[in-house]
Formats: sequence, C-alpha cells, structure tokens
Amino acid sequence: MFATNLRIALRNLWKYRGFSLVNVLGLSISLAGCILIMLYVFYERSYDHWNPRAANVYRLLRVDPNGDIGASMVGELAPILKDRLPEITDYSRFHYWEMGKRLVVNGDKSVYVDHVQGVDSTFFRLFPYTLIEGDTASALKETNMVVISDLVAKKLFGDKPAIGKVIYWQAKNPVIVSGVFRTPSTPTHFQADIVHKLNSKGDGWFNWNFYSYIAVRPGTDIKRLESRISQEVNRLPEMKDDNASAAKQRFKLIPLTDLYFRTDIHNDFVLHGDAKMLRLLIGIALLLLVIACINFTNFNITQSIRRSRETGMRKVLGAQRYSLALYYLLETTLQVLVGLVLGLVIAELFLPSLGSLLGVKLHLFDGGAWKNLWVALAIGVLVIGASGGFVAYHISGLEPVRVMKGEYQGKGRGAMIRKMLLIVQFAFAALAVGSLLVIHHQEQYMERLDPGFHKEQVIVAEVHTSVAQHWEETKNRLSSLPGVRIVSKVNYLPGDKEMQVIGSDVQGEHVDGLDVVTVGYDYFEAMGMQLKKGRFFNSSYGLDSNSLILNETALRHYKTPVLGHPWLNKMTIVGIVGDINQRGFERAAEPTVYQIESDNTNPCTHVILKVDGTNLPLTIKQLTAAWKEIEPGFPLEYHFLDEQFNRMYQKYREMDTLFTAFSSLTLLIALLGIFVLSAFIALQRTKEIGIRKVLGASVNGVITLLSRDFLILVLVANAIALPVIWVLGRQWLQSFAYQDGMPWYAFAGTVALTLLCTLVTVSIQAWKAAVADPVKALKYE
Amino acid sequence: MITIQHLTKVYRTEEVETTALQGVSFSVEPGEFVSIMGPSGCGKSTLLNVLGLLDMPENGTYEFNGTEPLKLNERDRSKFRKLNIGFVFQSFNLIDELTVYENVELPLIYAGVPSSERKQRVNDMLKRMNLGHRSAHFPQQLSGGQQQRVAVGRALINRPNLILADEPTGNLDSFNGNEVMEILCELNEGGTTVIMVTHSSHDASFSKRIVYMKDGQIVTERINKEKIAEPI
Repeated sequence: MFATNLRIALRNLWKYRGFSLVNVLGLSISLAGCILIMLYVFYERSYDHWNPRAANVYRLLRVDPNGDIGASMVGELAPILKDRLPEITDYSRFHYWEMGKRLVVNGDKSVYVDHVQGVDSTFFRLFPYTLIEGDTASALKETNMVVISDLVAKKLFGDKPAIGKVIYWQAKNPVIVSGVFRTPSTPTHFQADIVHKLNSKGDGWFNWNFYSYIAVRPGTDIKRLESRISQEVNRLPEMKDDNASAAKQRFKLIPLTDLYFRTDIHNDFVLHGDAKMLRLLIGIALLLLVIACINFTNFNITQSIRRSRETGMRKVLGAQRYSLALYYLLETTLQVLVGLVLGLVIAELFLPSLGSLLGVKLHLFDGGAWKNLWVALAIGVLVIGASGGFVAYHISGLEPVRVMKGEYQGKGRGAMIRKMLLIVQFAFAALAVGSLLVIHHQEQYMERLDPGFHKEQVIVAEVHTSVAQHWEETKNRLSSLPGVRIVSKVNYLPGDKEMQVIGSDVQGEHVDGLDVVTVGYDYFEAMGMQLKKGRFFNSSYGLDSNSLILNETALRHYKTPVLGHPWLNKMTIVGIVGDINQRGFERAAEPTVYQIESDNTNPCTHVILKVDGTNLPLTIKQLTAAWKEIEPGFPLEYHFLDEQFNRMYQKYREMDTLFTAFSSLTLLIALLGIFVLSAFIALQRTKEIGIRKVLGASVNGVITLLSRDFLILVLVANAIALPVIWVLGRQWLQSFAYQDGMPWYAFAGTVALTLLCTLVTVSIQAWKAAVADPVKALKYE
Repeated sequence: MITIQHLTKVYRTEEVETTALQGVSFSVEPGEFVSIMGPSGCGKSTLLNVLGLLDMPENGTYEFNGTEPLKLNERDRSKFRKLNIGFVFQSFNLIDELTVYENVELPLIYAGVPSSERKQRVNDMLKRMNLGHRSAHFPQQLSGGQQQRVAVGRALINRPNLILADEPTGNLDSFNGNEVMEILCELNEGGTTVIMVTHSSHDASFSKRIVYMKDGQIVTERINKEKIAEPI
C-alpha cells in the first residue's frame, strides 16, 4: 500500500510539475528565510552558553533610589561579601581603567589588541576558558602575567608556543605570557583578547570603577541573597561614610546568561544584544511560516479538488478513510521534505551574506546551531503537515458518489476557507510591506538629519599615552601638515554612548545627569558646531581652563546656569553651543558641559584634525610620519569622524536591508500562492470562459472577470493590515527622539504595491485562459 | 440475492428538492443480468449508486444475501463493497498516475491480498481482458475500449458476486462497446450477477431482464426471452 501510494504521489507531483515546483519553491524559500532568521536568533541567544558554570554566576549590580541599575562597583565590595556570605563561593572583578585597547609588542611585531581585560586571579573559576597552553590555576598568579587568546597568539607568535614568552605592554612594560586560551564555540557577553591580573585589591571606597561577578552555591535563593547583600553593604561603615544616599542603595544579581540582553544597565562595559530587533525577526520568521502554511493549504485544497474524481474512485474500490488521509499526508510530506532540503541549501547559500550584514559568523552545520534548528524545523514540518492533514481529513470524508459526480468543485465552504486564507496571507504581506516603508522612511530621515556638527573631513587619531604635556608642540606640528586646517582634541566623540556623567549640587540646585566632555581649544571650530550665545574657548584669554561651555539643552534643563556667571565648580559659563546628536536617534540631546583639558579633567583620548581634503593621501602620509615623533612606538591609528558617526545608522541600515529582503520574500511567497490559485480558478472556469467568449467576451473582459475577485480579496487584506501598520508604526517611531512621523506613502504604497503585484500575477493566468481557443474550453469536462 | 423495498432518495440543494427515487421496490436473483433503462434524470444511476452503497437512501430497505448493508457504518460499508461489488463506469475512472497493471491491482491492495497472489491474479485478469501486452502502459496511452476493459478487469479482480455497470459503453464506439458487452455476458455466464444502467436498447438486449424507470419509479419490466432461454 505504501509503495503504491508513494508511486502515485511521485507520479502525480511529476505530472503537475509546474504547480509542484511553485509550491515546493515557495515552501523552500519560506523555510530558508525561517532557518536564516532562527540561526541568527540562536546565535544571539547563545551568549555565554559555552560556560559550564554560567548557571551559578551572577553580576553584582547597584540599584539607585530612582530605580536605575548601575554596573560600576566599589572594588573592595566583592571580597568582603565573599568573606561574610557563605552562599558566595567566588568572585572576579574587571577594572575599568585596566580594560580597552593596548599596544602589544613582541620583538619587531607591534599589534594593537582591541579588548584587554584587567581581572582577578580567580577569573578562570567563573569563566573557565579552555587553556591550550598553561593552566588556569596558576595562569594569573602574578600581576605581570597575561593570558592571551589563540587568535592573539597566532598574530604574535605564529605557530610557535607562546607560554613563558615576554611581551611588551604599551611598548614598554614587560609581561609574561602565562597561558593561551581557546576562543569559545559560542560568544561571551564581554570581549576578551587578553586577560591580565589586576594590580590592586581595590582603589578605595569611593572609587566605583570595578565590575563585579560572583559565583554562588547551586540552589542558592537569589532573592534572599540580594537582600542579604544589600543589608551587609549598608551595614559597612565605609559605605555609610560615603554620603547619605549610599545607605539607601540596593543590590541586584543578574544571571550571566541574561546579561547580554540587559540594555537597562547604566555605565556597562559589555556587549548588548537588541532584544526588540530579535523579537521583530522572530515575528518575521513566524510570518513566513504562516504564509508558507497558507500557500500549502490552498495548494492542497486546489489539488484535492482537481483530483476529487480519483479520490472518489479509490473509495469505490474499497479505500478506507484513514488510508486516503494517509495518502494525502504522504504527498504533503514528500513536498515538505523536498522543500526542507531545498530550504537548507538556499539557507546555506545566503548564510555568508546575512552573516556579513549582521556582523556575525553563522553556521548551519557546524557548532550547536544544528541541534537547535531541529526544534524550529520540527515545528515548521508539523505545522505544514497539519495544513496538508486538514485537506486530507476533509476530502477523505466526502461521499464518493458526490465527489465522482463533480459536486465537490471547491465551491461553498472550501472556497470560503480558501478566500479567508488568502486574505490572511495578503494581510501579512501588506503588513510586511507597510513596515518596510515605515522603517525605510525613518532610516532615510535619520541620514538626512543635521547632527549639529560637520562630520565630513575630520580625521580622528587615537591617543594612547598622554599628549597633554606637550600639546602645544603637538598641535603646532600637526597644524603645519599639508591640508590640515584646524587641530584640537577631545575625550568623547559623537556616537560614544558611555560618557562621564556627573551629579552635583550647584547653587542650591541638584544638577543630575550632566554629560562632561573634555576638549582642547578650537574644538568647536574643528567640529563645525554652532555658537548660540557668548563665545567659544579661546587660548588668548588665558583663563579658559576655568571656563565652561554648555549646550542649549543644559541651559534649558537646569535653572541655575547663566551665561557669563560662575556655575559648576565655580567655573564661568562663557558660551552656549547648539546641541549635537551624541547618543543616537532614540535619545534626545542631553545636558552637556564642555571644559578645557586640565589636571582636574578626564584626559583627551583623541586628536581631531579638520582637513581640507585636497590631497588626503599626502596628508595621511605626513600625519603617519609625524605621529612617530608624537607617540614614539605607537603606530598611528586613525579613522574619519563620518565613518564613526555613520555607525549609528548602521543598525537601521541593517534593519532596512533585512526588512527589504524579508518583506520582498513575504510578498513573493504570497504572490506564488496567488499564481497557483489563479491558475486553478482559470482551469475551473474554463467552460464559463469558453461560453463567454462564444457569446462575444473580449480578452480584456475575461482578464477583468478573473482578476476582480482577487483584487477585492487583496483590498480586504489591506483594510485589515493598514490600521495594524499605523498602530505598530507609531509605536516603533515613538522610540525615537528624532522622527518624522508616519509617512503617507506607507499606506498608499502598500495598497498600490500589493494590488499591482496581484494584478500582474493574476493577469498572466487570466490572459492564458482568455486567449485559449474557445472550442477547447467547451470540450473541457 | 438482492431485495430492495420502498427506496426513496431526495436530493436537496438550498432552493430545490429533487426526488430521485420514489419508493422503488425491486429484486435480483443470483446469476441474473438486469438492465435498467429510462430517460435522463429518471433515477437509474441513483438506484445503481444505492445498490453499490455509494449513496444512502432516505427510506426503504435493502437486503443483500441475507444482510442489510444500509445498516453498516462507513467503515463496514467500504469493506462490504470491496468484498461483494465491482463497479464499471461510463467514464472508466482509471487513475491516470497508475499503470494498467497497478490500476487493476489497487482493489487487491485495499483488500489486503498478499503480494505474490496479487501478481498472479492481476496477470491472469489482464490476460483474460486481452491486455497482457499493455500492463506497463498508462491509461492515457490506451484506446477507449482498452481503458474500459481495464476498468472491467479492475471491477472483477476481487471476484465480486455483483457487477454494477453505469452506462459502460457510453464513451465507446460500437466495436469497442460490443467488446465490453461480450465481456459482461461472459462474466454473467460464469455466474456473476450483473446490473447495468444503459440508454442503449442494443446493450440492453444482452441482458436477461430489462427494468424501465420514469420519474424515480419502476414503470415496467421485460424478460429478454432470447437470453433467458440460453443455459446458464
């Protein structure tokens, strides 16, 4: 029986290979889309999953009285808590001033390593990386020991052993390589190319420059531990001495595997995923799956109608209902399997492009993704199988004589279901198209928006040591380079999100959330920022190291600042500048104060050069040569300001591209469905078309006749989708401080595009039916 | 063998109610060859469908060799059909995706006949229908007469007691039509009961009894003396 059914199924699929191909292709494209999205989702959710201790490792965080969660911690806290609370078995801290980029020198090889982390010797107990060389117990015993990643080892030592070798830190401090760790199979929420031991136990009770992780005993009640930690800390005399608000602080523990998606933590140093984006992508994956299911169901309904006589005959010959149902399911399963294999092939082909777009390395068959994918695929197969099963159940239950007499022609309930499915499908397609237009409009708006400064032709050179001591000399040297018009320096560039933020009492007002930016003279001129009132910093005044410049938001936000009068730290406000887009488009400009670099400010870490761009290669060549004198031993590292700033658009550009791809896919699959359905309808109405033509109907008349019903259904689908686009679009746009509102063409475009595509698709089939010889049509049936 | 009494069948659509059978009573003896004739829409095909358990009447009784098949559920009706009845239709109703051999084999598969026995029986049947050389062909590759012979072979493969033929020569030319009628006569002579619906007096002349229907009722019956005189 199975062999016979398989034979019939295969022959039937081959006989109607055009239909089968469209059906399987639609399915495989949907599945490929789903697989690609799910691979990315699994990748994003795989952070820290390599860590076997992850279940018992938590991040210690501070909750401010206003509910804000802060990442930074006093260094002394973690060791004290471990001593006092038996639930805590280990701790490891990261030191803010010991992390970041370092120049590492081995003989004649100088390599900038992007992510160096200063940690405790216990680091490997919480993050048990596999050491290819050395052992975790002793690798971080001394402060002059570093453990490097296999990738860094390869860069510095090639294939030779690295352990025991001396390398030079920042080109001058010798350290010993005490181990080489293997890069884990799944990502970690912090980036680490080199870890080295911290050189102190803490920096005092007022220094919140550490990030602390703790390991707890398995089965620990975390809520209880959180309150015990809060109690212990508030009992500490050192904390009470800090200030009154310290005593009110609460502490919170967040599981290691949750940290990647916690974007609500302030002043954090770790990587963050975008949970909103991920949810959106999962939504698209589901959308694709639903549309694929609808196509499949519709296809199976039309196929079953075409083959109803065969089904009836099988019943006459003694086929039981279940065997007929099994037969139809077998046919569905065959198509699903072919679709699945083809889907995997398409996914594999598009994986590199998606990976490079999202900046991640995705693998279909390597690593753990395959195991996870099974779950998603099983769901997909089950759902699609069920959609085939619905038809199988329905048709196998029909009275044989009615089916054979042609009474089951897909009219009545079957046709109603088909129409409803089509409406749902096109409502989803319209939703995808509408969302794309909203996203695209917002992305274009953000790119056009004036950021408040001139980002073009500004070169940013990274400072690795302090240039403050010989700044005048440096500035003169750089100003003399060809094409350089203005030279200045700054610590935070536009686009930097984690900045120095202070809270202080000034003239009776509590000034909170004020960004502090350290700059050099001529900074505003180099950046092309607008002066609103007063003046820019000017070295000829001599006393400007005691002056402040505020942005317009700061002036508006606080009550006490007045131009020309002393304000923060009794420094005089000498100017008001326009706001700039500092932290992206979601957040409006925040109160910012600019001050000249001095011993009392944070150091400037970038030199900025406004160039005229006439001979850029020569300018850069000369800058590279000059830098050897400015920072000996540190090769020049530079980039253009517009490149850095444009990274803020990157996320939205990616989103735009992704949505363009997946919305097109959604529409394409819906159109494939309509293509098959219109072919079926044309076939079903062959006789009617023949009669109409004999009676004088024109080709256009026939095309209109066949297209009208579909267009009405697509209009109904749009009527459902448009309000949803409006609600979701508005909700999404509200997350932006800078937005241009809902574009009108998101609605008009959606309707026009879905109608036009439907008309073209249906017309192909309708035209074929309309130009056919009417005699043939009348012979049909 | 078959006794039906007071069979009534009404087809209903949303607006129209059509009475196809109005209290039809009728019986068939084992080994008979009965033709049912009458104008279009008189209810002959409906009667055949009810006899074949392809359709259910509103009222009346139906007895088949001492059993009452109308009382069976869907599953048992299907079983009853495959054990007792063979069908031949005007439009052949062969499955296009199966070869001649596979079409004939299908009822045996549904009946759970082992593979080796199936092979033997199908080959014998194809030989008997003079289709041995066409076993690997698909229905579309055969002439109308050949297709109907495949349909007859398929109807006979389960060795049914009763053959129900609904205008078996309606789609055939006279030569192929005669060939099919001869096969049915041959079967009947072998002891199989045949009930045939036809418009053709020529085809009806092959049967032993002719029943005339009009407006859902049997109006008259005629014995074909020429045929009845022949030994069974």
